[in-house]
Amino acid sequence: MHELRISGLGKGFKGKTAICEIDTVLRSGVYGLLGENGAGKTTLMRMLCGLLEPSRGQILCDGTEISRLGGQYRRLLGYLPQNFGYYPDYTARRFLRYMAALKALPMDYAERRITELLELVHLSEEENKKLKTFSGGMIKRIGIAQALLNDPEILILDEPTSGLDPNERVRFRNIISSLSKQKTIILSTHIVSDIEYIADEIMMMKQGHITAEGTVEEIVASVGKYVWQCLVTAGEAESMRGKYVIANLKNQQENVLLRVISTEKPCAQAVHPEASLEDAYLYYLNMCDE
Amino acid sequence: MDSKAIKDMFRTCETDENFKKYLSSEKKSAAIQALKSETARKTIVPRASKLELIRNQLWFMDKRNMAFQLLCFLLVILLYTAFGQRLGSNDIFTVGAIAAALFSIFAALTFSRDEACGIREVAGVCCFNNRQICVLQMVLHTSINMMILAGMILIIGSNADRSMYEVGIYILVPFLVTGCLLYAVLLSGAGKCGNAVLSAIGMFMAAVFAAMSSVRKIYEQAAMGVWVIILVIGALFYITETVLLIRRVEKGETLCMN
Repeated sequence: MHELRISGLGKGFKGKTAICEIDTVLRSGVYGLLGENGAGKTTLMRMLCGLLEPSRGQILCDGTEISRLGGQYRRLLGYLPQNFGYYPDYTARRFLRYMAALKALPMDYAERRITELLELVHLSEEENKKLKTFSGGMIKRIGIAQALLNDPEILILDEPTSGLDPNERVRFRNIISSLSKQKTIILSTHIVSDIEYIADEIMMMKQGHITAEGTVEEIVASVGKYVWQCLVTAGEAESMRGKYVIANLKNQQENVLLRVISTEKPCAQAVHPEASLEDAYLYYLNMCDE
Repeated sequence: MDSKAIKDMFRTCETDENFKKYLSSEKKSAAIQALKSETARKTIVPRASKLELIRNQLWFMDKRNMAFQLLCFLLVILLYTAFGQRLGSNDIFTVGAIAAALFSIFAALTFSRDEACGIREVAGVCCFNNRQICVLQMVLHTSINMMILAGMILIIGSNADRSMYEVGIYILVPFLVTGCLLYAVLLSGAGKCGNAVLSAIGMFMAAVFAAMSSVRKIYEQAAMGVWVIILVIGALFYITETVLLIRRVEKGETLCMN
C-alpha cells in the first residue's frame, strides 16, 4: 500500500490555470475523479504520473517527491491515458510485448502475463490481429491490459470507459472491482454511473479545484437538501428550466415530473426525493463556488 | 539524533534487563507474523536485465527501416565490387552520397512514428521515461548507421584514389546535412505530417547531393577545406538538434496528445 500526498498542487499553461490548488491524500482504494471537460482531471492525472511538472506544490509518494523517485515510482504505476496511443501495425500481442519491454519485464514473465490479461479483457481470440482493425472499445481494452502488465500498485485511468458500450462498461467495472484492495486506483470520468458502484471515495473537480471529497454516501448526503422533485404543468416546467438546474424531466400525461437542483424550494409542491450521486455532480458542477 | 546515537540506544535496549521486562513476546511474534504475511502477499514483479532491455529495443525497432538500410548497403557493395573499377572519379562518390543521405532518414522516421502514434504519453510512464527510450533509440540508430557508413567508406575508399579520411568526409557530410534538415523539421513540429514528408525530404537531399557530385571541382583537393568546415558545422548542428529532440520528448506539455 502506498500513500500519495498532494500538497498545494498547481499547474498553469501559458497564462491559463489548469489546476489551482489541490491538497489531498490518496491511499489504497478506488478514487473516482468526477468533473466536466476542462475541469483539470487529465492534467492532475498526468502530474500524478510524472508526465507533467507542477507549476507549484508537490506530489509525494510515501514521503518522497515522485520526481526524485523517477523509475522507482514509475514501476509502481499503470496508466491508461484518455487518448491512448499505439502502433497501428502491431498485433495486440506484439503491442503488449512492446509495452512489457518498456516496463522492463522479462520475456517469459511477460508472455504469461499477456496471456492472462488478454483473457481478462476478452481479447484472446484477437491477439494476432493488427490494432488498426480494432474497434474503439477493443483499443480501450488493450489499453487497460497494458496498464495492468506490471501488476501496478498505483493504477491511473483517465476516462477509461469512454467509447465503451454498456456491456463493456460493466465488464470494466468488474475488472476494477476484482483488483486487489491494496492497490490505489484513480479513475476519472464524467459519467457518474461508471464509478458510483465501485469508488470508495469521490473527488469532484471544477475549474482546477476539488470542490467536494468523500465517500459516495457523504457526497450524496451533502446535497440531499438541494434536490427537489415536483409535478408541474408544461408551462411551469418551461419557466423553471430557465431558472433552475434540471436533473431530470419526465412527461406524465399533461404534467411534467421535474427533478430540480436548487438551494431554494422551486415551487410549493416540491419535495425532497432520495438524492443520487448524479444530483451531487450537478450541484457541484453548476451551483457550487470553489 | 544521529545514526550512531540511535544504534547505541538499540544496543543498550538489547542488553538492558529492565527494558526486556517490558517487551511482550506475544506482540513481538504477532508483529513478525504480520510482516511475514505482508511479504508473502506482496507480488514481486521480476525485472529484466540491461542486456534484455537493449535486446528488446533492437527487437522492436522498425525492421522495414533496417532491411532497407541493409539493402542499400548490399547494393553499394555489389555496385563497387562489380563496377568499381569502371566508375569515374566523381561517380564513385555519387552513389555513396545518395546512400548516406538516405540512411539519415531512418532515425527521423522512428522519432516521427512515435510522435504520430501518440504513444509517448503511455510509454513515458513505464520503467523508462521518454528521454531514456529516445536516447536508447538514438544510440542504436547511430550505432547501426555508423557501422554501415564505416563499411561504405572502406569499400569506396578501396575503389577511389583518395585517402580513407577524405572518403569519410565525402560520405559523412551528406549524412549529417540531411540529418540536420530532418531533425530541424521534427523540431519545428512539421514532422507530425508523417513519414512520407520526411522520406520526401531525405530523397530530395539525396538528389541534391547526386547533382552536386557531378561537378568535378567539389572533389578536388582545393575544396577539402570547405568540406571539413561543413562537416564540423554539420556535426555540431546534428548533436545540438539531437539534444533538443531528446529534451522535447521530456516535456510533458508537448508529448501529451491534447
